[in-house]
Amino acid sequence: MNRICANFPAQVSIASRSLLFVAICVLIVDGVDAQDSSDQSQVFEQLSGYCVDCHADREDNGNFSIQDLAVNSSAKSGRVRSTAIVRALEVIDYHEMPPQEADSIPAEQREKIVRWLRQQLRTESAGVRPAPTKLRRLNRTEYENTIRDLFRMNRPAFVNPDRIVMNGDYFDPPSGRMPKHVLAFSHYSVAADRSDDLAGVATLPVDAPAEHGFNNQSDALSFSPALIERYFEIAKALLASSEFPELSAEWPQVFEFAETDLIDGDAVRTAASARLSRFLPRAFRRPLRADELERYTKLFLGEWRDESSPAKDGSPRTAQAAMKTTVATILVSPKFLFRGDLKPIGSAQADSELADSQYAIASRISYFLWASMPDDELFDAAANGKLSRPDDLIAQVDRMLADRKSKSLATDFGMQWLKVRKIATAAPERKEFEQFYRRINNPVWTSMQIEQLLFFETVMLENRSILDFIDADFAYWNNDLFKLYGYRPAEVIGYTPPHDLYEDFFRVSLPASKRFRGGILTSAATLASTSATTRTSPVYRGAWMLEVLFNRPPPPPPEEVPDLEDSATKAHARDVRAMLAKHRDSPACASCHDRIDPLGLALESFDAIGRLRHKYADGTKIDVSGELFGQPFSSTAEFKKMLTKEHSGKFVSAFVQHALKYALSRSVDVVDRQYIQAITKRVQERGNRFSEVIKAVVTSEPFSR
Amino acid sequence: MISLTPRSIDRRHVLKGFGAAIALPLLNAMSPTAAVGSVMPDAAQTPKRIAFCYAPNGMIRQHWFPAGTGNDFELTQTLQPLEGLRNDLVLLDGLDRSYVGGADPHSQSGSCWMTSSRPEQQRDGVTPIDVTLDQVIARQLAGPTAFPSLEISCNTFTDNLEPKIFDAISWYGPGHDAPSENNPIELFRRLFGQSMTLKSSVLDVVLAEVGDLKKSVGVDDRRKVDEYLQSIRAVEKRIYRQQSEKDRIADLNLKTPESVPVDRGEYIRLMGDMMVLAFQTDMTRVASFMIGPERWQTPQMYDGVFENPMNHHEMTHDHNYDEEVALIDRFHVQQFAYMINKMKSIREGDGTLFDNSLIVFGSGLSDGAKHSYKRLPTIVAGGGEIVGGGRRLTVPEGTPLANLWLTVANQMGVKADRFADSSGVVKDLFGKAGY
Repeated sequence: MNRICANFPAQVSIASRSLLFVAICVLIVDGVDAQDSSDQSQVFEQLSGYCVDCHADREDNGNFSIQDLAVNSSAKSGRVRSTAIVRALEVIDYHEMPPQEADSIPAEQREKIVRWLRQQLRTESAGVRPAPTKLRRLNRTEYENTIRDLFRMNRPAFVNPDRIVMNGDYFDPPSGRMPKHVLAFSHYSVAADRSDDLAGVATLPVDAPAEHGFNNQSDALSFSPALIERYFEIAKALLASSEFPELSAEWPQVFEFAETDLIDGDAVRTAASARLSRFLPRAFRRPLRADELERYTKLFLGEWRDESSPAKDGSPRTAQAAMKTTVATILVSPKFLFRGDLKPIGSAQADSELADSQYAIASRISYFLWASMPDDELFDAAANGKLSRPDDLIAQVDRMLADRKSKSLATDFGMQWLKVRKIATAAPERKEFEQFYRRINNPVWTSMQIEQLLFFETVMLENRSILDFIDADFAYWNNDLFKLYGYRPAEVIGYTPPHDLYEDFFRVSLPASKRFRGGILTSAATLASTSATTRTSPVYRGAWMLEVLFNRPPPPPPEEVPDLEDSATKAHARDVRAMLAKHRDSPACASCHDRIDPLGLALESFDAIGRLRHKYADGTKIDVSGELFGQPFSSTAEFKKMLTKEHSGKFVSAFVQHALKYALSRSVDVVDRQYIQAITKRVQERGNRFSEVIKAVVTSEPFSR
Repeated sequence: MISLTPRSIDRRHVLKGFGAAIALPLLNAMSPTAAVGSVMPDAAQTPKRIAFCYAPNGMIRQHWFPAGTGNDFELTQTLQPLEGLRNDLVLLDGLDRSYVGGADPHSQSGSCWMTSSRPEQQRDGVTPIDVTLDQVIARQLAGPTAFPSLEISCNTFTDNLEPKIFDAISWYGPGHDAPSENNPIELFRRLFGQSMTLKSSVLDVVLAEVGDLKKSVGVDDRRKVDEYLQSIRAVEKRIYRQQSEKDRIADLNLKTPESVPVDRGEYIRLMGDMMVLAFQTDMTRVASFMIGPERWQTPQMYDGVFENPMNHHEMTHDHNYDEEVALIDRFHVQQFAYMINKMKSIREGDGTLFDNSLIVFGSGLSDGAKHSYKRLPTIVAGGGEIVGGGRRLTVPEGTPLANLWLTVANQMGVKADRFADSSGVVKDLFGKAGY
């Protein structure tokens, strides 16, 4: 039965909407330590003491004035002060300010200042609403998934070249467990075989990601004449495909006509209208408005007359042809291709506006969790106003995460977050790093990608702590990875699999002494894709960490970069540390490379394809020690420990920001900061579980906009 | 197959005035790699074409700019491949662009090369992107060709990690890129393949849907809807043009490229062939050509130059690699020289295709290591009497690149006294006023 119908039942009351607001407000008011006003000005005075020498007014360093932070700030707008608060908060929390040569802030005081700044941000942002959702077109993945679900197909119509693994049978969310043994193989082994493409036409062109963002962001997704042509061609070819009727469970209800449907003009109109009122609301992902049904019924009737007139047969076959043209037109309608909240046309009634917001939420959740359109249950929930209360939303998230379609969170969100595709174009020098290319059809680098995907899927499917991303005692390796990492299978999986298996990945449990390998940071995909062709690159690795782990990508290098006195030697510098230190002698470079380089150097004990090493080629011992946020570490393991213990909040907050960016299809700004703080706190209180991130995002104020 | 009916065309005012007779081809057999003969029957009708060819990541300056002064100079190592063509080009020295802080310098070098907007025109977030020169000229020349402009990028990277500002030099407007084609087979299909059809009844419905949508979204989102609308209008016009030229295209008897060459030089040259073919067959008169995307932090093969994949961008930031980077610069200049020679080989009226064309070659950075926007390496080439070649032209210090663009725009018939941040025209560039 058709779950949503053209006549939308206006059952949702205004009351339930305000309920949503109350719930969200409760969510964000987390235990603020009440500080009285004298205390407040005291904290500001202390902070000011550290900053004022260099930041007396905005003309000074970094276009930052301490005056903008004052409680009775001279800043003209709240936004200026919020921006100043966020900037101060970050550089102080991350120990970037005050600079090394200035007086440092004692730990206890730093903490107090950070707390004060957080609280000031909440006060300053109170009542400021986050940016509304932007209209954007479906990206390639979403388009393909939506086509699959709209026609209820039992397999995708296209082979998506973005996918890292071909098969997904191992992924079974209801079990709550990833299997110990996974069979997974990549695209590479079926090299560019497009025979599975149903439509026989190439899929859409690939979408570029937004800078420091995802490939679902509105500003990154444009239309062009060439793209429009592709939409037309694909829609037509898909519906013309001889396999399509078999694969689509929607086919009989939409495209098949009986002789009795075509007795006279009225019968035809009724038959067409019934089919379209079933199909259209699902295609537009909301109830139909005004004359939409009439518009497409008219198109059908015109086509039917055109098609049948020469043959004069008016048979079911011609009705089907007319329906194909009609449906193909729906598939190129901007209402299908664009995602976003459409305000009602004509007289806006409060009730219908609310109904709109329910359908908008349904789409937002489903494109976030499934990268596809809502299913019948979500449409039902929207129709019944059951997407308002946080409990309802959380129940939906639980239900949806248990669906296999949630795999897209790993393949689209997770893999973009970790920049896993980069490995596909890494080109380590062939002689020295022969191992990277081993196996022509399943080169080792494809196993590196698969390892990363399986790891993400495990954290997600088993609802583990997201801190496992940094430091974990498990991983999925195949024979090639055992070799690369230097482990005997017997010590980590308990037995030795036949040596000729390479599509078989085994869940390893890492002994405490060798645990340093677990997690995304020390996996080969990360280490190899952040290296140069002949050597490691602490700079790329550091920049990768700043963006992926902390969502603080380094600012762009300046125009007119000063010449380094004596830049790196052509062969890898004997002492990479000394080379980078020289780099930082220049103040223009140091301001960023002081942040970047120490992070990258913490991974120097892994070579350019991720193998463990203790010495450089010339015999020099490798030194990975450094400082993280003002605290010293001496090994990679220690470095990770700090990230999962005292500094875990920074990573959790960053992960929340990445998830929020992906969920909202936009970048996050100063206004979002207070919500990010609140979501982070909520996630931390619930053991940093993966699903808590998703739930906190879905029930947050920015998501409701 | 039902095509756009004449009735529906009459109804649509947008198409009025585009019905001018199209020159019929004299060509019977031609393949993209071995094209000979002329499509244009007589010189009076030969159209003017323009191509913008972009090379990424700057140039090693000491190997680009010739030493000394005056026109009696020796071509440098990087420009050597142009030796036989020096009388067809002007070497420009001293053009600058303004960089806007806050974004990666590379993100503006390519994407703003032809925009050249004033720094305060930050329309696309932090980047001063506006409609680019090629699109301005395309709109001016609009009408007679199926494709108002053609965008090509020789980007074969598969990691898909860089935002579009690193792979787009042509923009319809702020934030709205004109996406490029990187596959010669697909490009050929788009140019010469069977035109898709668009029933007027279908078009009417789609346009009605656009109308609904425009009414129901806010001001910001309306811009996105306009992108859709402009695109579908462009498709509509193209279909009409291709339909009306169906026979002419069929008579050309062109052959699709069989495969995408693995060798990088061969691949770039094939893409160049496609551009020249599009000019020759009058499918377009304006083209932009990225010889490689900007900044891409990924190694790739430069066949015949190095044995292993090289990371161009990375090397530009280490002066120890200056000699190697200069070899890549030279490799790109070689491909440019190939395109000119190709255009010179095609007879058109009393002269050649090149005689009726203008090609600008350059990079949006000068020194890649420094991210310098000053003294941008730029060449203007043109056959016949368009540019009095064989010289170098040093412009006064601080001359904006937009001055060149304004000069070029005027030359192509765009009546304007300002483009982006221009402060005037480049004097003495063109031998004759207008061509």
